[in-house]
Amino acid sequence: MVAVSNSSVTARTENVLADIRARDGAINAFVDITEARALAQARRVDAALAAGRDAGPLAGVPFAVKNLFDVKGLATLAGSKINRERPPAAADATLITRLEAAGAVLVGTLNMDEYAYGFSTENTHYGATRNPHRLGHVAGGSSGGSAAAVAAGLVPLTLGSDTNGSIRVPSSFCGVWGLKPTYGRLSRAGTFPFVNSLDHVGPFSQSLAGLAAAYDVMQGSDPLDPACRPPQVQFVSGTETRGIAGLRIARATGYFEDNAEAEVVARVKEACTRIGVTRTIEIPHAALARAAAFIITASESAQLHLANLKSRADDFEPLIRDRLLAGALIPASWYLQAQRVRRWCHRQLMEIFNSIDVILAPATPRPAQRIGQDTFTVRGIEMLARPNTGLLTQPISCIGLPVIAAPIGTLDTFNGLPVGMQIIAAPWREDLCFRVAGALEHAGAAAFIPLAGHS
Amino acid sequence: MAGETPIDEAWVLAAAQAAGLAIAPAHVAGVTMNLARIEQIARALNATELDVSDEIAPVWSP
Repeated sequence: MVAVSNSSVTARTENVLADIRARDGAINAFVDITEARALAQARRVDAALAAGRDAGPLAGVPFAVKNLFDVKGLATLAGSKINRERPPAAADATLITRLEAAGAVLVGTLNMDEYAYGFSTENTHYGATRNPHRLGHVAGGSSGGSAAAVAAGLVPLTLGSDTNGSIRVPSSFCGVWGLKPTYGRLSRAGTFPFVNSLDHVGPFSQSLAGLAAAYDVMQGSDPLDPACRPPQVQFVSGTETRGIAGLRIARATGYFEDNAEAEVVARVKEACTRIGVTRTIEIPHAALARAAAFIITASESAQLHLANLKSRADDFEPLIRDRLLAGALIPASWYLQAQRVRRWCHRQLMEIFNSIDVILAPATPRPAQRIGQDTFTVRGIEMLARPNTGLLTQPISCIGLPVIAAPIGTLDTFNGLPVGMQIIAAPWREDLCFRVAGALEHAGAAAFIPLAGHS
Repeated sequence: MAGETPIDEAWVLAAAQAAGLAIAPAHVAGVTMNLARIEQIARALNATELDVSDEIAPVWSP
């Protein structure tokens, strides 16, 4: 990821900003462009390099963030109209501070589903983010701007959040690498919450090595996020070349096959074959884990926004307003039972990791649907598109496991759109996700998917 | 749960009133549909037999 061009970081940043201005209109990934800030940081990096100082492992790498990350001087919109009234953030989110300390250059903020409640980034206030591979299709969500910006080559690195699949779904739809680390691994300090007991943050990248480099510099505990309590910093750069000898890897069947189109499952099987994975495993109670995540999400998110739901419901995104209002009426007993089932599912699933190190599964039931499409079919069953896009991601984030979303190709039967695969490991074992991802990349089974005509 | 009292518009309006939530007439049908879907999902959870040790954690720690 580290740039090796002879031109200055400042000159390259100017080019990136000009490219965003020229091309983003068709995609609508960006909401704000932080030009003055970007150029100031670029000049600092140039000065460090000119003085012979170490400018950091990400020196000059441009990046952008989902607009639920605090950026000093900007109101943290979280995709909403309501948050425009918030005062500008007084400080940057912890992860922005860490990336800039490593030399990266923040160039803007990115579009998302309002308050992260969605899987499509169809945002009434700021417009839909379009899938760079097919502009009539969604980019996925809720971190749709983050995935689309990387897919379009506007920036090589972005940050997003994942509560129920909001990194993995848009990664799958846009053909980019994404990492949802273990719950509590990366600091969420300075991010606008969605569902505190399920919220994760993580990076998107054009390359696996870039994903690892960004992840490494963002690690570390943070007293500002009470959930951020990693057992230790575990650097992963380089692990993607270690191979998978000795790892016990299995492909998920049952729920994860039944809720994905046959072409998607076939592509996952093909990827498994390329790296010699023949073992299969059924993840127990995946449907229950998904159900628990659904209830917890509905209840916690509604509670978070209860005051505004009472006083100004019409200012919410029409696509989520009724869901939030319904969430506000959930009896406490349903929510508490969901949390208890979550604990129970966690215990069941942890037993799998006594005999398996890594599990491979589709990331989405199918590739991206068209913008405005309310329903889709999976295995011949018609269902609502927006709440069901996360069928395969919700059971995993419900119990906080680390996952890399790997781009595993395009499907001709779905307009040549990309699809992704989840690489799932036990808590705190992101390193194993990177090893398997590296093996898939080495075998030609996973890679960033360039836009047609840009390979 | 819903077993005895199905989720319908009357249920939603009564619950909203108790919660201090004014739901505009135009949104009542949508809210009812969403809550009915949530209730269907909650049924599966409530049918799960748990042990007293299956308790929630104050801070989730995987």
